[in-house]
Amino acid sequence: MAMNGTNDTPGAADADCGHSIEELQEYLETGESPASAHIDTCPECQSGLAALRRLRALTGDLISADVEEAEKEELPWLDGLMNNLRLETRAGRRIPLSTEDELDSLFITEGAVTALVRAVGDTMEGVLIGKCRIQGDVDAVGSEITLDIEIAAFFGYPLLPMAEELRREVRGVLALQTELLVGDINIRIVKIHEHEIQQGGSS
Amino acid sequence: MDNGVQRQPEASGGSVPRDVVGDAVPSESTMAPPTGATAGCHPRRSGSGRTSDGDARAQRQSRAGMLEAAEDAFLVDRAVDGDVAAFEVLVRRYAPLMRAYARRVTGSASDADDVLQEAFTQAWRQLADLNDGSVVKSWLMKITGHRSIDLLRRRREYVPVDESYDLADVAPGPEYAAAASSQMAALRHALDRMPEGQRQCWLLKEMGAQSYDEIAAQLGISSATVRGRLARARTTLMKEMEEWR
Repeated sequence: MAMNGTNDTPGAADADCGHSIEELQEYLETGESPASAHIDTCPECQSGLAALRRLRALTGDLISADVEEAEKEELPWLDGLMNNLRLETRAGRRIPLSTEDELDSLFITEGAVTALVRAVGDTMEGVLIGKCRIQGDVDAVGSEITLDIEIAAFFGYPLLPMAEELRREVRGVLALQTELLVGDINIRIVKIHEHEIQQGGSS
Repeated sequence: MDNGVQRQPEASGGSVPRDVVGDAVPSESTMAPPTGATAGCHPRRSGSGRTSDGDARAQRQSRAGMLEAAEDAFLVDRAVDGDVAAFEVLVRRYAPLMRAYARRVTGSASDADDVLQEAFTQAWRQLADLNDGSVVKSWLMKITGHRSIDLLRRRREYVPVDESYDLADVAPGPEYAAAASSQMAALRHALDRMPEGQRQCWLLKEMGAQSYDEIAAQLGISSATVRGRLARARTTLMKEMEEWR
């Protein structure tokens, strides 16, 4: 098998047959090599490949052991970190609210609306709210908007009643808390979780 | 006003509601509740009014359990929308792997935890740029690698180069050492003694799963140098290991 000299490996300990560790590693990772015909029959390359396989397996073991070790300790900074992140809000667009005085300017943020939608979903069993998008011209007071909501459902909860319930609840909460004129609420089920969930309390 | 249920224009004569266009809708037979649950979706909040404290607590726990079952991409979507709770599930899910990685690269348990906090803060800010939420794990690992190398660089400005950082504070206890194979001990030992440049290349490649070009850019060296260092690192590790066979 002819080898061109373009993939020299500086500093690599080449086997006597002229093939480098790097070539063997690439063959191991991709299953392909310009020199595969040679490698498949060369005893030296075969023993090099075997050693690289052992190294790879051992590396996997080392990482697993490291992760196991890392899992044993708590994350003492977790609460502080999360509190800091909470301050970095994702506000999104401003949705104006009507005011009695023209000089006032009141608004609710898009982020606050999607948080409301999530809060509604989180009070229902068997459903998790995912991505939530408000479509439409939110800047114009009184213009109709569309809500696109992605949800994950959990196994055992009938989907249609769940979606209807969710629509009803979302519509109710948004009517109570915002001035949005909510048109369509499109619900897209992106995932069904098959296992049951451990409930935190009795229901 | 019952426009609560919008249906898709009938596509092919069927009456598939718009709701169920997901990728994993079970067939009719599997949609029945498993344990004789009644129809409906059991809203916890009954029409009567507010929830009690106990209900609220149970609800929070139940939600946490549900989030833990959710897939990465789903949690990323929620986090991009501003949900810190979803992001926290991702943090808990990947902190051990990231910590293990940062410990190997920085050689210090406390530095590694600094790296993690920086990495998660950066991730939270840049999460919206992540086009595909399902790759969040490798994305987080990449950030961890970057932050670890940055920290080493910063530290080098204040600390004499020849002051070595040993792994004493992350060394496993005796019970662990006894269970580990002598080959793994040899690998640890060989890694610790390896020239730092080689070790960094090897860790970024093997633990961080980064490409030659990414490693080169991160370390400020050429791709050819990365290749050379990786080849030398592998040769050294293979030799050390073979001695223990």
